[in-house]
Parts: sequence; structure tokens; C-alpha cells
Amino acid sequence: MNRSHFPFLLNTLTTISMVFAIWMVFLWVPTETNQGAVQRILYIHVPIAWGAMVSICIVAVASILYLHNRSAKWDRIAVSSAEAGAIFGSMMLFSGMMWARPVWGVFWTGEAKLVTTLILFLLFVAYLMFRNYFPEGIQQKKIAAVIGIIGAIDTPVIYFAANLWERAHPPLVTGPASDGDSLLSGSIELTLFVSAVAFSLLLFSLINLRYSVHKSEDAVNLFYRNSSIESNTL
Amino acid sequence: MKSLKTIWLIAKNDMALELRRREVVLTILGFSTLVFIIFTFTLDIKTYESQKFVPGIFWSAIAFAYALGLNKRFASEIENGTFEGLLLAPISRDIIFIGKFLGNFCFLFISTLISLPITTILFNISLFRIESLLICLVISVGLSTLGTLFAIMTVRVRAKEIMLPLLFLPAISPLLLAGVESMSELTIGSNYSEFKTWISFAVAYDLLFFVISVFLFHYTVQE
Amino acid sequence: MIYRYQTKLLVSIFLASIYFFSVNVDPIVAETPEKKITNGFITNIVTNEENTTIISVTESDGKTSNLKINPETNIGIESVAGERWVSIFSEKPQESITRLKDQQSRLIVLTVVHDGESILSISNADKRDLELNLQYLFIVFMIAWIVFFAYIFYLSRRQNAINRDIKLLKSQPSYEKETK
Repeated sequence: MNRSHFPFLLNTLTTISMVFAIWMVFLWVPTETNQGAVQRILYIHVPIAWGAMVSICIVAVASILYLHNRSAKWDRIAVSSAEAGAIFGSMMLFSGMMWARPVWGVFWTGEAKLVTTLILFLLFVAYLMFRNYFPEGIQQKKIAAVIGIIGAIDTPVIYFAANLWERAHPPLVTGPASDGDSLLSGSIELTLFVSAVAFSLLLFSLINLRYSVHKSEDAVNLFYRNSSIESNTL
Repeated sequence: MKSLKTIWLIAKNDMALELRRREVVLTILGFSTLVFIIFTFTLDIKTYESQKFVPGIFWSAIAFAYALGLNKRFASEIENGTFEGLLLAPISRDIIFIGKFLGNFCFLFISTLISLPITTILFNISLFRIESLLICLVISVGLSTLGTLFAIMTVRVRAKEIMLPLLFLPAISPLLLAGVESMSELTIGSNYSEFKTWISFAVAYDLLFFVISVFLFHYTVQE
Repeated sequence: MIYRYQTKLLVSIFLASIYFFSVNVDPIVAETPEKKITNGFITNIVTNEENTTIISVTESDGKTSNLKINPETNIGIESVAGERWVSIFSEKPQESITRLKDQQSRLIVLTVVHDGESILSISNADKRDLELNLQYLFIVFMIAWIVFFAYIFYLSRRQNAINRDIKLLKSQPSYEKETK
């Protein structure tokens, strides 16, 4: 495959699968009897949450590889993935709240998964803020990689702790579907799967787009640094 | 053996500095006591409900105060160039980290021990038990491991006053949970077996992040 | 450039999602000849000789309709404790009837979706604020897509700016030498 065709193929695939997923979510899958129309939020919420988890894993792997061989490529992948992860994380929180309000009766409870995802989102924010505030250079990239690794290790630990804590305090959940034992039938599962594929592809195309922007910017910055021309455009 | 001595020397140096300047311990104590006092009248906590709130107030005040203290501690080291000097010395980076960790751990542990009677007096709650020492010990180890690592990482950042808490507090949140839960068990007079899970969780957390921090520390300092 | 198509492709997803959303007719909300909605409480539950259960539902205006429970009727009702119980009738017929009788004794208002004869689903009505729920659904999809688009738009603008820069730099004779 020609390398320059890769982004185009990825974006086209994303578009097609996304349109197909939206068709399935709105037209194909039947409404769940338990929660009604609002249950369709889950077809966007669950894949986005999955995307956020995938992106923290990508950040961690890219960070380890960066510390291992110091290639700027891995650092770019880590930043791009963290940015996409922050967007996915905020959307995950938002869609989760919008689902919880009609179904649980509250926007937010101290439930294990909620606490974990909020902290995951904060870690993404901290990572990106750090990159913005630290003077640019090798040092910045190395420390950012350390933050990425610690964040990825911390996430399952936080989940474990929050689970342990939740068992001590049963969550105060009110509303009709507080039990949440609805029937996850075949069509719901299939729609969720297609939607997850579509959102994973969206995640990869966002990372890819951000990566190429970053790469071009690095090239231009390198040129300016070497020729010591003051740039007003950047 | 020699490395143990070096670790002790680094920690001792920090402690000597602290004895002269009283930066960190006073910051932690001052800030956390202020938080306690503010909470006693803003929340209007009655004696019978204090066990519900006090552990949470105690550990969050300590965590915030510690972030403040660490910021001060490393900012002055960078200002005076002593940290660069230490890095130039022919000592392994791991040993520098462990030495710094030991110093910071002592400050935090002493501050929590002094905070315990203050909490007891202000909130009419009994924390004078041998298990309190254990809880303070395991939580302090974890807080100072990640605190030291993050403080060294963020000391050169422009907005380090916000950057350190933003990294530090989410990362230590499981440890805070462990501290709060075990302390609230303690305040209602439970036995050790009631919060054994939390203590062992905190010990596992300490070990995990201690190993990771020692391993990752040399990437965070300049070569 | 491929990035010129990128925005267009993704705008088309956006438009498609709005289109699908506007086309989408929620099966519970829509009242068609095959699907009627009755809100009321149960006044009577009888099981006849052919082993079919018939429920009498009385609406607030006093109108009573007798409706048959099918084996595939969906049931989602709450117990006194507020615990929700969901099942299909054929799976647990005995328990379903017990729970419906409990609803009858407490005079709980239920939403019954039926085709005039047999019941498709029966569930607690009070919290089923479908208008409100549709709003939530709409807000989520709108905001999510707006955010993704804003991000993609921002990135493509940045890419275009940098491409312009690169073009400018490449026209300078010193470019080849400096980047090596």
C-alpha cells in the first residue's frame, strides 16, 4: 500500500463505518423497553469510553517506546493520542451524565467507574497541560512520557480502589433502571460492536491527523531553528 | 552499604535544612490546621457525625498541604542550584531519589503525627490508637514517593503551583481512599481486621509506585 | 490534498446523523394503528381455561380495556422497594402475574403498549418521560458531533497553515541545506 494513501483510506473507512453505525443506532436497532429512547445514548457513550481507554494504552506504549529509543515519532504518537483521549474523555463524561440524569435520576454518583473515568480524564488534562507549560525540548518529552506511563499504571489501580470503596458504600442510585439488569439482546450487542468499530476508527483518524500536523510543525520549527529566522506565523 | 550511607546523608542534609528553615513541616501544619479550623465552623459538624467527615477532611487537607510544601521545598533547591550540584555528584540517580524521598517522607510523617492531636481536639474524635501510626505510615510512604517524583518533574514548569496538584492528587486518589476508609473504621472503634484490606492495598500501592518511581526517576532529571 | 476531502467527508457524516435523527421515529412514542398506548391502572387480572391471561386496564377517564398478555410481552415494573424487574412473559409467567397483581393492589399507573387486543409491553409510567429523554438523546449526539467537528476543523486549519508555511519555505533556496 502506498503510504500517502493511508490517511485517505482511513478517513474513508471511518466515514463509511460511522454512517453505517449511525444508521444502526437510529433506525435498525429496536428501542429498549426498559429505558426507552435514552438508551440509544449508550451506543455512543460506550464506544467513546472504549476509545478513551484505548488512547491511554497508546499513550503508555508510545511513552515506553519513546523512553526506550528516543525517536520523536513515538513522542508525537503519544501527544496525538493524549489529545484525542482528552476529547474522547470529555465526551465520555458528558454523554454518561446525559444518560444518567433520566435513568438514574442524577448526573453524577460516586460510583467506581465514574470516579475512575473522571480521574482518567484529569490525567489526560494534566499530561497536556504539562506539555504546554514545560519549556520545549528533550526534557519535556521525557517527563511527559513518565507522566503517561504512571497514568496508565494508575488507572486500573484507581478502578480497583474505587471498587473496593464502593462495596463499603453502596451507591445511592435512584430512578427506574437503578438495577440496570436490562436484556442485552443480540441486536443491541451487534449495534454496540459496529459503533465501537466506528469510533475506534474515528480515534485512529484523529490521532493520524494530529500526528501529521505535529510532524509538519516539527519540520518547520527545525528549519526556523537552524536558519534562526524569527517566525511570526507560528 | 555505601549506598545506604549516601541515602542517609542526603536525607540528613534535607532534615538539617528543614530544622533551620522549617519550610515544609510548618507549611503542611499551618495549611492543614487552617483547613480544619475553617471546616469546623463552615460545615458545623456535630460530635455524633464527625466520624463521617473528619477522615476525609484530614487526608484531603494533608494532601493539599503536602503539594504546597513540596513545591516550596524543590523551588528553593532549584533557586540555590543545590539540586544541580547533587546531580553532578558521582551518585546513582536511584540513590538520589531514595534519599530525597526519605527526607520528604520524614517531613510528612511528622506533620501527620502532629496533625492527629489537633484533629482530635478540634473535632472531638478519638484518633489516639496505635493503628493511627500504621495508617499514617503507609499513607505517608505512598504520598511522598509520588510527591517527590512529581515535584521534581514539575519544578521547572511555569505554572507549577497548579501543575503539581493536578498531577499529584489524581494519581494518589486510591491512597487517599485507603486512608479515609481505614481512618473512619478507626474512629468508630473497629478492630484492625476491619480495615486490613485497605492497609494491605495501601502497602501494595506503595511498593508498586516506589519501584516505578525509582525506575523512572532518572528520565525526569537532566543528563 | 487529501485533507481537503477530510472535512467534507466528515461533514457528510454529521449531516447524515442529523438526517437519521430527524427520520427516526421512536416506536414507543409513535402511536400507529398497530401500536396504541394506554396509561392506567390494572383493575382485574384473569387467567382463562385456554391459559391466556387477560388484564383490565382502567384509564383516568374511567374507560376500561381488556387486553391479552402474549408469551412475548415485555414486562418492566418496579417493586415496592423501587427495584426494577424486567422480563418477557413466557420466561416467568407465574412471577409476572404475581408482580402485576402487586401493581394492581397498589393502584400503580402503568403504560401499556398494545395493538387493541394483545399487549406488546407493560411498564411503569411515571418515570417514562419520553419527551425529556429524547431531548437528552438529541443533546448528546449534537454536542458530541460538534466537539469532534470543532477539533477536526481546528486541526485541518492548523495543517493548512503549516502547509502554506512549508510551501513558502521550500521556495527559499536555503531550505534543502538547512533541514539536512
